[in-house]
Amino acid sequence: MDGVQNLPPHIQGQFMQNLEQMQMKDSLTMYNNLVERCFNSCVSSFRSKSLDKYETSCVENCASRYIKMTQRVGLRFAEHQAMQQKRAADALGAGK
Amino acid sequence: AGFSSFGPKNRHKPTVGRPHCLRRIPSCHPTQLFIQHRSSIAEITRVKRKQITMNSFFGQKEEKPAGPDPLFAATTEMEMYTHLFNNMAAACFEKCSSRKHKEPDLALGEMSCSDRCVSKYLEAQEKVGVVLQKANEAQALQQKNLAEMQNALGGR
Repeated sequence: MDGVQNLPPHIQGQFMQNLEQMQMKDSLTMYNNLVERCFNSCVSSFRSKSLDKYETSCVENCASRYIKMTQRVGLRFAEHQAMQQKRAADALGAGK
Repeated sequence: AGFSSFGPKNRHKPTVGRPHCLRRIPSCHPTQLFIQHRSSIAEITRVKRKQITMNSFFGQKEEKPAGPDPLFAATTEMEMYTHLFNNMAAACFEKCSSRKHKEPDLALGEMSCSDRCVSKYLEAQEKVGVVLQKANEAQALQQKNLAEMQNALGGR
């Protein structure tokens, strides 16, 4: 993930702006996907117009578990990236 | 029925600026939760921002964007990592968490499953990258041979 560091500073500002936009778009996409996923997983009967107690708790739990899992995955991913960077730095240092 | 059963207490209390809201998710109003939730990009950019502010130089094995538009290259790279993260989170959720959703917290087995899932996914990504690279090289070689053959035939 080195491309960002190579940008000159005035483009880095623009990149940060793009990043904010991408972040907002991604939030919305994730929200929609989460709703679809939890709906598919939890709701199966259409006898009434509103969610019953079981479906409500299932949807809430599904959303909270997905978010927690996403956070955990993000943590591990960041660790992995850091390890990879360290390895690359060591390799560079050893190469010199 | 409807929104009345959304959570045990503090159903419609505004939760902007309360970061600990995320720890008790069922009691948060959904839109507040959505606004406060760190998107998947934020998870990645947490690392990136630290890198930028530290302004440190690490030699990377990955190719530096030497193309004509570094902004496009950086944006594309960030998009690639976003897709990777989203797909990884979705796949690990599908494979590791049970369908019943009886509890709002992850079980211990699910947590260790997701750790292993992440490392396996990234390893699989590396291997696929290697295979793709070899295929690209083979294809480039083939095209070069074809071009040479055509030149030789054209020269006669």
